[in-house]
Amino acid sequence: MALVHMDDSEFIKNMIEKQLIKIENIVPQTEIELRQLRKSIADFLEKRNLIPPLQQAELFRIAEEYLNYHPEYEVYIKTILIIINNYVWQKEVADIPFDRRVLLLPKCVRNSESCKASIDELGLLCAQCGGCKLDNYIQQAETLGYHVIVSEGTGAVSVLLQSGQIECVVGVACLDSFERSFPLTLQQAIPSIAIPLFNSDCKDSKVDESWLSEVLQLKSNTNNRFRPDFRHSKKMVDTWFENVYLNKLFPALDGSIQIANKWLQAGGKRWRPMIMLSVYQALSNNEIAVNESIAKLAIAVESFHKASLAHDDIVDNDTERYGAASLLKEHNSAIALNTGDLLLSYGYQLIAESELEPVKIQQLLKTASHGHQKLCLGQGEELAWQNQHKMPSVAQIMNIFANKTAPAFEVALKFGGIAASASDEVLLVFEKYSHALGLAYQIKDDLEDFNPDKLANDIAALRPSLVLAILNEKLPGRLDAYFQKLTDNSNGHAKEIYKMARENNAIDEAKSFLEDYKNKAFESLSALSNTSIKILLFRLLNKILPQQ
Amino acid sequence: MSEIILCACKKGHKISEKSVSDWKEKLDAAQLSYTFVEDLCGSIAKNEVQLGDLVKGKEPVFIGCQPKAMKNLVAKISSNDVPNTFQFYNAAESSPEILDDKEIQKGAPKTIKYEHDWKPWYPVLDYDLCTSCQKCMNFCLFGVYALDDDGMVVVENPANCKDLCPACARTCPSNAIVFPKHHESPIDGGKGELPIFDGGNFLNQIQQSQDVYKLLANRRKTSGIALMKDQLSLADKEREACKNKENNKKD
Repeated sequence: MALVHMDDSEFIKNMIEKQLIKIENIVPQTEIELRQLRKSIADFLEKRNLIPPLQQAELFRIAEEYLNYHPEYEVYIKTILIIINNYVWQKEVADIPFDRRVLLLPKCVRNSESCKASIDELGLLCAQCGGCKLDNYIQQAETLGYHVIVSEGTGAVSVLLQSGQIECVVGVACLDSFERSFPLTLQQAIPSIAIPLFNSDCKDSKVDESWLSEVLQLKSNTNNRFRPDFRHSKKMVDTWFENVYLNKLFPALDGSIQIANKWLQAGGKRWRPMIMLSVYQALSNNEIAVNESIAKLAIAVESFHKASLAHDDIVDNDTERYGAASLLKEHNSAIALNTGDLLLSYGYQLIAESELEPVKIQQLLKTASHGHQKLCLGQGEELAWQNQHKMPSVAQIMNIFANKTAPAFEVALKFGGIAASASDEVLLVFEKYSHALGLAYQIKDDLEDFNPDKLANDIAALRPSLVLAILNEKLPGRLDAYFQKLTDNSNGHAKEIYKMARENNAIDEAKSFLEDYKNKAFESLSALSNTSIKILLFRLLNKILPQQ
Repeated sequence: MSEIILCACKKGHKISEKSVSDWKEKLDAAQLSYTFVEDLCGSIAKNEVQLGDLVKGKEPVFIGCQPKAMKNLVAKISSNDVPNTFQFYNAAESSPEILDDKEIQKGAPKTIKYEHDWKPWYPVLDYDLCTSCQKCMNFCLFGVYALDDDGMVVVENPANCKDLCPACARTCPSNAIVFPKHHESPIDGGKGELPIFDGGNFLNQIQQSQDVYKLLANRRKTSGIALMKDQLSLADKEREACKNKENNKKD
């Protein structure tokens, strides 16, 4: 469903200023005109290999180009954006079985005088009395197998979309309504087709019936394509961390192994194995062919991660992890250190035992060792600054962040990619994506921690903080005193520094860094030609960095 | 030192003229200083009154409509929570004895006028109850509500609210929405609770469901059964009426 808040685009703004857009009448008013417009756009897009999902900015760029050729359609800009987005998703929608599609119809199509339907939280429960056209649309869709919802506004529908389970949406609504729901479908990267109503005044609304009918019947012959579903991957991943399976790989005959296996199971999210598995499935376009090699690599990825956590907790003297005692607290630093080392060995052992082709094993080893090195270099750089009681520059902070956070994503993505024989181009996309995502993620974390309560500790520990680094560059020398006298009154200092950061826009600047890197991550995906992996990484990005 | 603030609800007539004039008479007779606010809802919405102007470090005693309504109104101009030294009394239900134990300056009354045409009819949220579930925001067609930076639902555009329409209050599962000028309890902040609409709790079910498609299919199967509950039905009608008025205006 395609639309964008208008202030998002300079282009649109200019057009409004030039009074090129008449807001009232932006949908062509006859079926014939609409068909012509669709045909003209389809012809224009035919030779481009556009892979969904497209970002807002990309949609606007394409629309702008189209309008260069067809300035006469400028008044229809919003409709054009919708049609472009529809075109891009069309193939994907056709691949999805009818009974996994949801048709959203607007309540305002009903006859408001005679309608006797009752409503619930999701919308109208149509009595199919035949008093309006809704009856026809519902019948056609339900006969095919669609789930039909007659709703109003975007509220209830947004809950439905946010469930993350809806695989495909065909939506009929007014342009205003699409503008509100667009960010959501974009975030979820849900294959969708939008059909704008002829009118936007919320009563006795009319829809292009032939267009609707054509869209409802879209159907391809392939039904077995992989469709990313994190909950599904999670279920599969969880089975690999059950005692039975782990004990088969690493028989818990020894105390150290028992501790390591337990630590490997701790904490429920298992993001990395899930990412790895989803990437593998998306690239091999197959949900079923997951074998033991993949399970082993997924556990390897998690082992590396858990090893780094065990070591981190020693460095930071953290007594708590996942809401329970850390290894450090439950045992002691020597045992925590040793368990981390043991888990590293798990990772390399599992790569060796994955039984993939030697060339892939070579690639995996290179990826894993490279990731470790980056992590250590990032950590080393941070320690060096702490020893000097100084705050690094913004560029140096970024370097630390990139080294410390990007490998977490990169290793998981590349493991999945390598296992699925991904091309070098795809692996390169993973690198760029991880770099941008890792930085954005770390900045987000940084911003969340930048409050007077937590700040005191961070200053005391001289943790590298982007906000502080920005502030430090804006007010050279002003913060030195705080960094040198760490022990006295760090609470009072925290409040002063927080105030300074606000007054000097350091927080806002960090936020714009976050947006920049998030956009870079999105942009890195434009080089992908595989729809499944593009959708997957799009969704992942929005899951890790949800819209504010 | 206490400071009395007497609201007259000029635009809503929520407080009877008689109780306002009774109070004025008694305060004047005792020569107590007080602030006469023509319409507290209005002055607060129009940003014409700041809490500091009203209380200046004193312990304020508000006399007006429902205490809960006033308390949440005052919360709008109080950057922190409303301190418990603030007191709120219903003008019609309380007598000047409530002032007996208070220290109040003598002096002439001050007046805060409200001279706009707009009738300040809008909701206030009781944040002790509000869970920011966003149902009101999604229900309202006129953009009264919005989310703030912290993800809390706020009354962003009070002026968009439609006169006499309390529909969103009926959809609130926590009874957290108060319309100070509404004629009925509990929507005006008075005692009692609205029957909570469960709507089959469909949205919650969606959020918790492992299989949304199955849920949708079941909903379809049982759609012959009227799921509409009284409060939601009423809310829907009220909203429909507002929408029609709005459309007629456009025509």
